[in-house]
Amino acid sequence: MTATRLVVAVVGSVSSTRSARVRATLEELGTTVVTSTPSAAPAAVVNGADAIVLDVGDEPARFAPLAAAIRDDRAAASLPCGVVVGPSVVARDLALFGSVLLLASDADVDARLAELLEQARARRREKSRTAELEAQLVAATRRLTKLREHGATLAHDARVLFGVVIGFGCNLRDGIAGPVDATQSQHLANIVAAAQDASALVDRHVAALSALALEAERDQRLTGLEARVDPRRGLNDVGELVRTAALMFEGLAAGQGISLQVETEAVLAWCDEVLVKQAVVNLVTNALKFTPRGGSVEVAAFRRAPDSGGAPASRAEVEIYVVDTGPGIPAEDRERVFERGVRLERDAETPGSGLGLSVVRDVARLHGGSIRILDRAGGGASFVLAIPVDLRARGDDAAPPSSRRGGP
Amino acid sequence: MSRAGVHVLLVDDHPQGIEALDMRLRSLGHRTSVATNGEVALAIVEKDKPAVVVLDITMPEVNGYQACRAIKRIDPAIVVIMLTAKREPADRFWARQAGADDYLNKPIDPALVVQRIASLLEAR
Repeated sequence: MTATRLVVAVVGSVSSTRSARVRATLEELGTTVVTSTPSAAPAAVVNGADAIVLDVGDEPARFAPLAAAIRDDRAAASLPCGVVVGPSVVARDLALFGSVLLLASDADVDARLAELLEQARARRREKSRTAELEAQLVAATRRLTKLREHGATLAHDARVLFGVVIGFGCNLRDGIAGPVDATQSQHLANIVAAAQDASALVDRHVAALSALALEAERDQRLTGLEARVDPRRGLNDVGELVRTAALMFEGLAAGQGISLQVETEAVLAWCDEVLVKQAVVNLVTNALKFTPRGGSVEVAAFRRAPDSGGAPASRAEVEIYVVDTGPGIPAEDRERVFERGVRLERDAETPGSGLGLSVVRDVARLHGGSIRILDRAGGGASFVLAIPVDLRARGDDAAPPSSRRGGP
Repeated sequence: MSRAGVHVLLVDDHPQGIEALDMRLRSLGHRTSVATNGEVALAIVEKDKPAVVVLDITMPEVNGYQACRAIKRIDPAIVVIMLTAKREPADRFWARQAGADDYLNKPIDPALVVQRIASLLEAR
């Protein structure tokens, strides 16, 4: 960072002797000078610059609009900015530039410009330090996520092994493997009780550990660090998102005499909040439309670990279920219903455009996920929208062509 | 268990996970079969129609949910109990979606599993 030269944007009248002196001084101080005029757009002025010098001379009013635009622009306003004025400028004119600007008159212009560059250098150092800390925070959170996953595996495997101890212990205690006397039975009961306690203890501590890691992952989402990678996607709690979207239909469902049940867990996934919400809304709308009075619509969202089956690829997904007790969708129509404008012949009486489910399919595709219709014991339709938890881990292949490429 | 001589199929890719239950069921006069993967389990269900299947979830190839769906397609009257160390809230939901009659967590006293089998058969 520090190896590259500072870039200073000088805005002013290029021809004046004072202007020439400002540029010469800045170049002597080891900076690259980029000049522009007061009529230029602030974005063009600050483009890649580390500091701004407004060389207003004796015409402060000409620079006032640009000064105001710089103050209103977040990126530009954060840059150190100096104003070089001519001898005839009075205090009232300087008010145009606000109090945050570094002011220089002819007398001490060299010293003030050096001061401005020191501010620019400090800002660079600060920025690079911040980027470093942010990267460390992201890496630390990733490690916590790994820790959480190891914890879950540990708890699972411990339960299996404690299950063996408890299973055989109970059998011995109950005389399944041959007679035991009262003392032996008591000893065996103690062994079983200790194994049960140990298993519960592992569960409790792993749950606490997992909650802490999840909290850190959420905090990181709140700082918005990761959101900078791609403005359209963010780290969202899909469980919460699905719950919120589904509960909007509570009143409507009650009015139609349909029981609406929502069951979700917290699952952080890299997705477009607005699109996923829209997909859930479309699925629930669809389910409510086809479910008769007295029926039920069940909405759920859970993390599906790669090993829990169903999903063929080895990646974690969040699965969003919308299950209803309507007429269901015949196996032969299960692909067709997702096509744009397609409605089933038997639904001619029910209002609709045939677009809702095609939007759901688009949302699935944009996220590199899938939409499926499952067989359901006892009829009804059962939609499963699956969204990969972390798209970045798979590279950019699942992103739509129009989206920005490249990582952090 | 109220009915003696019930055929129970036990499915777990780690047989030690169901061995104690197997011993207990046999000591109570029930017939048991053991399968260490979903495919073998389905072959036994096709051929021998057990009254009850106790199913693990985490198994390679055909997992517990897939096996449960397939069993219920073969004969919805077969009682399926999931017995698993998985404890995420999702698992119960998926088990229900797959048509399982009950869901029990490892580690467990095999006597409790025997009780559940009895009451589920009673309710039929």
